[in-house]
Amino acid sequence: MAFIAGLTYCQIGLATAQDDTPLVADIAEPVVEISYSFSGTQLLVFGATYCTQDQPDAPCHLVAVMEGPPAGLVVRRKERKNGVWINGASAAYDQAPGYYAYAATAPLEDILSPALAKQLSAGLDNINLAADTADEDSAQLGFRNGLIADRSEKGLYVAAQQTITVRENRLFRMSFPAPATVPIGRYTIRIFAIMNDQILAQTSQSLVVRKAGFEAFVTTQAQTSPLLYGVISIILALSIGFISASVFKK
Amino acid sequence: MQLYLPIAELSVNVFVILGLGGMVGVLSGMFGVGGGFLLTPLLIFYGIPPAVAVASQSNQIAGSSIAGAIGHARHGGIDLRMGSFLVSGGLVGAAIGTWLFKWLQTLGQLDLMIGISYVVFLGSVGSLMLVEGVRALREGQGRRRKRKKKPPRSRLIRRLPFQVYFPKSKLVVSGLVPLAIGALVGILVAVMGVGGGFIMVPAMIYILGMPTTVVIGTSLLQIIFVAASVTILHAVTTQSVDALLALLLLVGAVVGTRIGIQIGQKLKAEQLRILLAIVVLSVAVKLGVDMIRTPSAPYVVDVQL
Repeated sequence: MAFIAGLTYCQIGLATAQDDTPLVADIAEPVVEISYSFSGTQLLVFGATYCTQDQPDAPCHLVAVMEGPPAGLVVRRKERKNGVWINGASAAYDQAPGYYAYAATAPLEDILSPALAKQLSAGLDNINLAADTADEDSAQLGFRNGLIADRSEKGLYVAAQQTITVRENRLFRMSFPAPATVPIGRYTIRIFAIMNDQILAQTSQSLVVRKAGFEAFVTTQAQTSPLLYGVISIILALSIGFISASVFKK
Repeated sequence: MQLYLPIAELSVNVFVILGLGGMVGVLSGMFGVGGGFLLTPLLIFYGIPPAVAVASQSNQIAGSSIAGAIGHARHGGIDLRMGSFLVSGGLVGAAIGTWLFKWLQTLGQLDLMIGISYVVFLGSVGSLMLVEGVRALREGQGRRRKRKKKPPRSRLIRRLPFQVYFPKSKLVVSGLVPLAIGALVGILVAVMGVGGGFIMVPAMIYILGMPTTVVIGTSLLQIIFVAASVTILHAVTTQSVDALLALLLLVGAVVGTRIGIQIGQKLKAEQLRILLAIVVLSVAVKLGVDMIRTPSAPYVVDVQL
């Protein structure tokens, strides 16, 4: 229902977009609420564009980059000392995106020059990751790749390029997989219309992932009144133990 | 059935968590140990962040220990005076341990320290139990001798000041010894997410020389207080207590414990001890091998504190 309403909005958007806005987009679910049954979701983005791929000499392509709330991450290299693997040198990334995924109408290397891809931070190799510990460049790359490999394995950096499907050369949609561990916070999606390695148009939208209901209540209590939360947790656990002792009394 | 854990911030299968709690409950019913030493690594392996696993686990331990302690209290199996010494030491240890936990986390060496502690403690306790169990089994096959002889305590312990009489355990010992044992166990609870019964029970028998009838009840009494204070300390300092996770584990554990007690009654004490020694040793060996083997990923990523 929400999606159909969105499409109608798009068509209205198209009418005005004709002259100055060649690209409009919207997010199907601008607020993703995490409740007790949450086990991951798809973040659906759709829109309309006048950028078309039907001119073979100068096709116009879409590229989209979704980034989650920044997180402070520390990457540690495992080193062998006296036969035991311990955590050795480390690099800290204060502003690493908590989530990253990208989508395009064709393979990125066919659409973007390396320089433009870097500028848009499109593709896993171009994620904007600045380490605050200055090491030599070769080591830096190792940490960076280690971070990306770890996040990809956890489904937080989506390694595979997602497809943008275009209908009637006008309407497009794409979806990004978000795992159950999806970070809480604000996400931005940037969409670019690209022709001949030039940005024709761009738009950006944001969505919010937040806990709802019981999950939100528990988190708020744990953060705002931790002492009370700890005491109540203990009282609950002790009561279960107490009840079980009386129930199973011989 | 999937359930999203609010503090761990991930979704888990309810039946897996109940099952893990149940399995550990069976062990604790059979052997009278908490089983935290098994549950914490399993939770981490399942994907629960280590800090959340350790903190929530202490919440669970408090609940399952009270169930056991009540049972022992009914049979008069608790030395309250000894318990109060162990608890006092334990509270100090819990505070030190929580601080140590946070410090190791910032250094990035928490996993390594947890690993080393597991290998050292489980390895030595497991070997001792195995040796003891096999010897008892051999002796039992011949003529069942009653060893009334109290285990010899070292001279150092006898010379310590501050001697206290413990009527329930019928022994005189320096109050500093149970305080120290309690403190060590408190640190273990906070850092390793275990109840510490596997250290405390042998320490009470071999170092303090307490009669076995009051050992388990008294150790459970100490664990309740220490685990409860560790939970509150973690809730305040690291905010990583997931009450929902703890309660699910607890429900599983409570049911599992009853099943474990049934199984335990069908086996001989020596057999139980050997069986437990094998479980403990295999966990130690597994963790030890993991520390030596080349890791699958050369880098680890932690969330900055």
